[in-house]
Amino acid sequence: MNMTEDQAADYVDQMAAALGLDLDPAHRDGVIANMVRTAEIADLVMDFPLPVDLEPAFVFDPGVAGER
Amino acid sequence: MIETATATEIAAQVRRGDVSAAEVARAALDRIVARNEQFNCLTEVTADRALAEAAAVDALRARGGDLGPLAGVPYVVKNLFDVRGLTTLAGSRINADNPPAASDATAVTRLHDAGAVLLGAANMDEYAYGFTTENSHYGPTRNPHGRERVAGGSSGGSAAAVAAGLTPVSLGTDTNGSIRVPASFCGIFGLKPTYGRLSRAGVFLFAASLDHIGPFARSVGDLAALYDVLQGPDPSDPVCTPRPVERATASLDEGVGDLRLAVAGGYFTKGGEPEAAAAVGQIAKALGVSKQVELPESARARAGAFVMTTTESGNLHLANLRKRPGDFDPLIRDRLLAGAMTPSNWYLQAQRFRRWYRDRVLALFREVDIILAPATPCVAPEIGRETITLDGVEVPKRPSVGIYTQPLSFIGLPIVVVPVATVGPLPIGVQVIAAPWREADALRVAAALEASGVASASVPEFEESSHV
Repeated sequence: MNMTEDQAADYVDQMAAALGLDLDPAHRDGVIANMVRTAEIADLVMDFPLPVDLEPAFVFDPGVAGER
Repeated sequence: MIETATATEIAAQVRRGDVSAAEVARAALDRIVARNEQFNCLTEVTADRALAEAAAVDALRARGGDLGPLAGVPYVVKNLFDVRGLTTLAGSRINADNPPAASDATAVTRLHDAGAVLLGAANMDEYAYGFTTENSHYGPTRNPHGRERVAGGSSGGSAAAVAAGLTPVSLGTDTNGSIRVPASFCGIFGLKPTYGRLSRAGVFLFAASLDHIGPFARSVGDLAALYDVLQGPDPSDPVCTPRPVERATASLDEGVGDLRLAVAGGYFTKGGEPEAAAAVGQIAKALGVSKQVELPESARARAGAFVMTTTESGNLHLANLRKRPGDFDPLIRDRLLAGAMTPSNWYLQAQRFRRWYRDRVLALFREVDIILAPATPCVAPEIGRETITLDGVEVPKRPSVGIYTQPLSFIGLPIVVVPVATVGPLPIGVQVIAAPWREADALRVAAALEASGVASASVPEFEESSHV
């Protein structure tokens, strides 16, 4: 499910607003082009079926509290 | 000759008193004056520190003190390692506004404690986001084997400094190939250890889930010597392993022995120029390897690494992307901006796929101990080009030179790049890939290849600048 350039443009504008990024018009086309490319690449990951019991690879270490 | 001496030889000479650490440091600083302008390896020369560290080594020797394994060995670090008193640039103009680092990175401290002498900080792609060290603020680093060509990146300054003979060894970082690509293009040895093996404390992050540090050298013995000194737990790095030090120098001369070897098939045989396959062929022939194994879905692994990298780096730099987007290198700015907007599902699926791929590749390591693959799909391309031709297809240069490195760092495997100088006029590297935590296996194989002469690194001949 590739993003079209128009979809990417809409998405970039909305995400910029949501993230408080005041996107310079001179940078906008480059960001949209990168979003289209990332979407194409992400499709390779998203298209691949994974079992529901497969945990993400990150592991969080809660650490150890100091002496009371 | 000090210029081409290995770190191990320099340390032995200093220990014996054949040469003083101060003489070694002054000779290295002279070489930097003569050559750095040609290749643009270093963004900062720490001459005062180098001379002070060297003087301390000589004073310790005069007192009969215990000299470290790297006594008097000069080195440089990529300019994202904290060096006390120096602002950590990470290749950026933005970080130049930061105050100087208050202390050394753990890796720098460990090299200092081993007697090594810091010459300076090396050029890189801004925030490590690139494979070519074409930095818009500090200029491109030039390849010692051809000044019109890239050194590779993002640790290009560190690699070129070793290839140009400024220093026998250096430190870089590797998130998607940033040690292995420049090692290949500059014709030197590089080690990307297991993810979590070496401390990254005091190193400016890029994509923390994938960031590694590691050494460059012109000999495998030096690579192992630095690696051994750099090992050890460090609570300041949340992913640094608590495993005990496993010295690689101890087993370096054991030869290939009963290690089971194979060549990576499928993905790693496609999309490259003939030089890449020829280099793997030469190494495989020298080792007598005929078995081939397939790392399944490696194109998706590369995609997963891409998504994780862009997402994590976009988030890391979000505050400055809001405040001062115009100060980023234009070569990476739009990628960071798009990365800050990545849908969370793409990122999370990549993290889940990472475990899937890891499990499949770990299963392969039940049958083999070492896997060979090309390091880069081509020799060093020209500076300034936007595209290159790989296997008859025109592709964007900057991301494409990492096609063979990116899937492997995705799952943190330890890898030594060995340089093959006999494929053509320019060097190219081969990845010697071991199972997690088995750096020593990859280094043993690299040492055997070096001993047989199939893998070798040398300082090319070139004219010195005349204005010394």
